[in-house]
Amino acid sequence: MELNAFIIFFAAIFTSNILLTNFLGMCSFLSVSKEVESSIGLGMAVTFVMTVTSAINYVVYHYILVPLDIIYLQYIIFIIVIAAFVQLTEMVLERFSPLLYYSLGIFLPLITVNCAILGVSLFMIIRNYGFLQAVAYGAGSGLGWLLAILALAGIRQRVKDKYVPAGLVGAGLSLIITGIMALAFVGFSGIVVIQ
Amino acid sequence: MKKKEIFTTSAFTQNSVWRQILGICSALAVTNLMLNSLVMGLGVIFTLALSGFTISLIREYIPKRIRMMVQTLIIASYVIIVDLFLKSYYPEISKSLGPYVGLIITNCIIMGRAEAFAGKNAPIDSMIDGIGAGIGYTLVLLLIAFVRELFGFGSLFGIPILGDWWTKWSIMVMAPSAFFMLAILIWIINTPKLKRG
Amino acid sequence: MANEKKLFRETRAYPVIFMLIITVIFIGILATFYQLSFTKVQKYRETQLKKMVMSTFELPTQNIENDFTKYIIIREMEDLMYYESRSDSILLGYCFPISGSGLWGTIHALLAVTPDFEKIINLEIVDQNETPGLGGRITENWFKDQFKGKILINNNIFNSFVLIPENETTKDSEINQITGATASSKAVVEMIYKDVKKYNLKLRIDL
Repeated sequence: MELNAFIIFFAAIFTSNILLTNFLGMCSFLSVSKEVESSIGLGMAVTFVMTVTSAINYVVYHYILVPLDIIYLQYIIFIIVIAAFVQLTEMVLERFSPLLYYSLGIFLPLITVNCAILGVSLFMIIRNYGFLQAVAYGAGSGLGWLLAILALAGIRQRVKDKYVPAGLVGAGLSLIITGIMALAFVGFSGIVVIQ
Repeated sequence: MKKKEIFTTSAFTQNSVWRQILGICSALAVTNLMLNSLVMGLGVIFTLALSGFTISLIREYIPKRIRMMVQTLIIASYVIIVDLFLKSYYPEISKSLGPYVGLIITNCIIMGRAEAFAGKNAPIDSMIDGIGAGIGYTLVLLLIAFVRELFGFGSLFGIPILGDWWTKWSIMVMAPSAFFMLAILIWIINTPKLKRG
Repeated sequence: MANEKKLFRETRAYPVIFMLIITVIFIGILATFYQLSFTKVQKYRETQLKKMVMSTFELPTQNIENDFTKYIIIREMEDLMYYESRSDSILLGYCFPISGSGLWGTIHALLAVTPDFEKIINLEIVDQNETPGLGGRITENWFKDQFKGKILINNNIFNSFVLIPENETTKDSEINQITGATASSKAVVEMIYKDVKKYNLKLRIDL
């Protein structure tokens, strides 16, 4: 593919945002966006994991799975790489930033099943990205995810003291806000084509 | 807990989608058609039941540090087995499930149940909990899909219900509508509860 | 005895050994399933492909094993493969595999054209991973049938199709796209254009 890695990077953040365009990575997005600080923390963790795992999975796919003709194992291998790496990140965080570790709680291990991370690895294979493009895509998607969760957290902060029908407080409201954001991002589709 | 109680808790009172807000990604992707929702739901039920059972079986032996990896491995294996089985014996159905295999593996519900229940309870109970969670999930999906397919395509399960006079609502075909539908569903379910409480 | 077991489980090595064993077990199970299903899946794919090639020329598909070789000859030229279709020694046309990038992955299709390459006989979608219910609708008959009879080459110029909204009436070079699935519709149109050019260039010289 002759696509410039920089273009992929920027497109992944804005016009092909993994969360608002492909709708991957919702679960932790909806729950952690209650507070801005934990959103930033989780967003950075996700970016970190996305970038490194797309690099690792690229190497694993092209240098192990393809030569050995075991492409059908790609789902399992990719997700194990992700799970192992998240476990590693968890241990590092517990050691160096216990505050963040505890505030993220269950959502740190849940990064493993963040469909966005597996999605990024699968997409880069489907779209035949080279190594640099894959890393750019991973980093951009992570930042795009961070952008989206930060936006939602910011909006939720603002709406905290305003009137909301009782039945919608919390999850219901987040869903509606996200729906509107997603609609807005539909306007981006087609601006830059990265596949 | 009695078996029936386990089932109703995981399927209804602690429903994975509208109570715990899990499994959203797939809820957005498949609810544009009822048939897709059903296929996805069945895949999830199956995986939940088997992975719950297996993880519960070996729960005493799984080292704490790597439990995420082990659970992920088990869950992913079952999903792929389902996919392979369908590909061999029911290729047409497998075509509808194919794109969702990745989404089932990363479905937060499956990991969520493994962490919250299967890791601490007996195998049969875990299987029931899994089936309950899966059925609860499927019901929510079918509800949302009912609205989306009816207004977006004018059909249900592919059978045209509304005639040509109906202008299809494009927004129902696109994913953002699932957000709104789910929010409305939560609203409807929560309001009487809060009034009572 | 019980004490020793407990100690082993808490050693550093245990998680690693456990992970290794369980990975081997599960991958072993998967590999077995895969091997068992492999031949079945392959056979199914081959038969499906043959059926599709036959159906693009509206030839019967009930008795595919016998009929395929009666009507279709597989030809290869350099790195290209295509099907030549004859019925009672009359050349019906050529059918070749085309592919392009859709929204979620590669779309594979079969395009059947008249012997002079000027018109499309038929289009069949072989494999796609587009959004079910949206881009996935490119497999629906109404979408594929639009391409029947469309002009590909006019006075040695390749014709490119224009996409218009779903329910409008189409003129000669126009194709109704799928509402909400512009990308997938576009992908199909573009890959026809790209691969027809490729095959025409290489084949015409020798035809």
